[in-house]
Amino acid sequence: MPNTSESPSGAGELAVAPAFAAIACAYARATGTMPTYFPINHGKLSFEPLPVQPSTPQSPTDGLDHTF
Amino acid sequence: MPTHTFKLNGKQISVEAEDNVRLLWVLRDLLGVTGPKYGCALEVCKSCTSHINGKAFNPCSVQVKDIEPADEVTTIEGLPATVGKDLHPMQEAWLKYDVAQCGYCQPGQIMAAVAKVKQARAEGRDITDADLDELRNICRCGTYSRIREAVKAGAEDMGA
Ligand code: FES
Ligand code: FES
Repeated sequence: MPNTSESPSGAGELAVAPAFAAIACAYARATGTMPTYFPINHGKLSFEPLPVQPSTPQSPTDGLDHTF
Repeated sequence: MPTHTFKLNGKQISVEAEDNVRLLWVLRDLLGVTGPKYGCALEVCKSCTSHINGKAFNPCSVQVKDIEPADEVTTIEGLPATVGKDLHPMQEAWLKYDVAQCGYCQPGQIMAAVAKVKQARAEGRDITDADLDELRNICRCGTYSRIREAVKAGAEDMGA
C-alpha cells in the first residue's frame, strides 16, 4: 500500500480474516472440537434475538428505566 | 402538535413534536444536535448514549413526552461545559490514546464511560475491569482495547 503520510494507516482490515482463522484453530486445539461456523459458541443464545426481517420493531419506550 | 420543554446542554429549549417521538429524533432531526448517533433505535448498540440528569441513557428509547421540563439532557456537545473546559478529561484521554477509528460509536462510548466512572466514584471506589465489562456500547471497528485504556486514564484525570 503506498504510504501517503508519516504514519501508516488504512490497511487494518487485512488482519481480520487471518485473525478469524487463527482463533478458530486455537479454539480447536484448546477444546478438541473443530468449530464449523461463526460466531463460535453461539450455538445456543442466552437471549431472544430481535427480529431481523422487516418491519423492524418499534423503538422501546423504557429507556429511562436503564440509566446508570 | 404538543410542545415539550427541557434543558439541553445547559439551555432551556422548547420543541414541537408528537408525544411518542423518541428523543433521539427530536435531538437529531428537530434540534440539529447530531452528536448522539443512530445505530439501532432498539436500545442495543448504545451509540446514542447521552446523559439525563448526569446519568447515561439511550434517547432512542425514550418518548419525548417522558422528559420533564426540569430534566437536563446532556449530549457529547455539552459534555465539556459540564467541567467548564474546552474538552472533558475523558475526551482528552480519547485523543491521547488515539481511540477513534471510524468514530461512529465514539460519542456514545465517551458518554457511557463518563457515567460509568461517576457511578463508581459515587460508590466511593475506582473503576474496575468489571465496570468496564458492563459498558455494552458496540464498536464495529473493534477499538475496545484502546477504549478501555482511555477510560482508565480519563478516570484518573477526572479527579474525585
Ligand atoms: S441507537 Fe440508541 S441504542 Fe442503538
Ligand atoms: S470507531 Fe468505528 S464503530 Fe467504533
